Amino acid sequence: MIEARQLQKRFGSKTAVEDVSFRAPDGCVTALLGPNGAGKTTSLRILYGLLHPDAGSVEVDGALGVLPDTAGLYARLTAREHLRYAARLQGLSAKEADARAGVMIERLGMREIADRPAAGFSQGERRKVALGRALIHDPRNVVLDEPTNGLDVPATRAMRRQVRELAEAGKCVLFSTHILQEVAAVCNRVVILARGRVVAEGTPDELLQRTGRTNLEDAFVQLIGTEEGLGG
Amino acid sequence: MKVLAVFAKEALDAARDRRSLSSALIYSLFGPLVLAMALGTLARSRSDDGPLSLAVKGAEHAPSLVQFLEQNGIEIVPSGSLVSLSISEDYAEDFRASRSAKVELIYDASRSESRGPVQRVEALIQRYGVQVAGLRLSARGISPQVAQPVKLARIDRSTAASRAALTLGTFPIFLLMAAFISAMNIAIDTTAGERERGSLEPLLVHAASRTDLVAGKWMAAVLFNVLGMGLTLLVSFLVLRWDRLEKLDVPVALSPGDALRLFVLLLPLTLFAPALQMLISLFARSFKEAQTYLSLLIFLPVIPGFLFSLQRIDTEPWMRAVPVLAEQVLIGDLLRGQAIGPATQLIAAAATLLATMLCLAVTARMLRHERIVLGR
Repeated sequence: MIEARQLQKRFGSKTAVEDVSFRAPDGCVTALLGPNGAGKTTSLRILYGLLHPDAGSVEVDGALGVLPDTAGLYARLTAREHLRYAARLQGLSAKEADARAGVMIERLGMREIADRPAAGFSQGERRKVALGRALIHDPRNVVLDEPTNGLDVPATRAMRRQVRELAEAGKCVLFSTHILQEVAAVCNRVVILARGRVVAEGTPDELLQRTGRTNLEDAFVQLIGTEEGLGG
Repeated sequence: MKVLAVFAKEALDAARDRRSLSSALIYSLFGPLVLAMALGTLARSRSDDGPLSLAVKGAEHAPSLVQFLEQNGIEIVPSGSLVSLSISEDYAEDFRASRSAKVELIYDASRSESRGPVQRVEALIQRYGVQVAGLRLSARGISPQVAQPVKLARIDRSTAASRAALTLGTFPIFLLMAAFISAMNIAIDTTAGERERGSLEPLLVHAASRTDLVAGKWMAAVLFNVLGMGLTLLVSFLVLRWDRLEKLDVPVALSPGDALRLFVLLLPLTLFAPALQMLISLFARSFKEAQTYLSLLIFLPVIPGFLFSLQRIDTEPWMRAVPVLAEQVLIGDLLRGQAIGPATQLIAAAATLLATMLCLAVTARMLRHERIVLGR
């Protein structure tokens, strides 16, 4: 379970997050949906401790796995070495790290790239390694910042499947996106963010009911009050 | 141990990076070789006793002078020498009439290698003049000492080892610079480079403490620095045994014991430099900017180094407790053949290690700052 309470964050005179509160329960995919610049990345960064909020608080029960918005791989390290390094940083022993790296390589279908240096990886392969790194310690909670951004169709589908599987395994999954279809495809709950504030929260059906619309896109546009910054 | 995992990863990553490796190795190999070349040139210009060729125009006017020169190791050649002598046509007449006979020494002062020959020819001609003057005065019944009211005798108190230190004035600078070069690339790569690649954020979200991360990275940089320093000393040791340097008539050869003592003496600095470099790199906005800063940092040991080698600066007690400066003073002492007390060396090491810890602590702290982490 991840809970954010009245988060607020300023960078100089610019307010990135004004008032963000939501709850992401276990066994469920929660989407943080909003146009570009709505404060999604900043909110997530506060959740995983990279940024300190000016006000508000965060609660995460149990271990947290994070897929930040940049894969940030080391060009000279192989996929397996990345996974092993992440495991060691999470406090696993060398032996456990080897075993977990093997498990992630199988689960995410990285056998072909396992022992190749990351320099030649495609966007999708890079994201797989980054996801493997986030899940290496089998965390109860997973935060993913725009996990499908820049991926091709097969890679996107694979990523969505992974996200769903995590929730089915009982994890709390929170991911951010600016893509509406993503919400329909994977998530159980939506938190809509606009200009640093949560404007709506609930299941997709609840949002349709509340706005009286028949499709999510219309509901979304009505809730955020603009079509600006919406991706396709 | 997370810190060891960080160390292992960074060392492996750097070992696969040609840029890190080459920057660590090239200087270690070439620094001492450049020094050897400089010393070799010095050896050539200092070879006072070897034959010096000198073209003499109008030699027929001054046979006795020419003979005197030849007796003192000057080889008279027809033309093409670095320094040449021109004896005026009136020489013989003036000489006979006991007037000052004119001799011109022709040389190019912009060529530093002509300095030795000029001094040597000048001294010889002066000696010849004093001899002739003595003879003339004796012939007139006057003691030659009358014309020499004060006699200056030079007594050089410097020992062979202290002259070597003067000759090798640049050697400490090479060693101090070596401490700032071998780990430079890895120090940047693990800080500014990590941020520029976007791998700093994923790294920081793991459950490892900032201290573990910084310490592990620093250890990897230190590994490279120690290897580089060891190699620099090894190559220096080999280079200074070079035959040609024997002409310097001073024992410049580094004994294995000295090389080892230098290594121990420089070890704290080898630990300090990467810590400082990582801290500075973290403040840089990009890899390139960090490179610029650290290239300038290399000159840090050069500044006191040059002051020490160009002019005699008295060593003040406080200098022994300032990182870099303390090592500079100690290396000078060691090369001059002075004994270094364990307390002196301990103070220098303690000061440098304290500065190292401080840099590491500040670096770990900086990694908590959003501006530093996000590179804004």
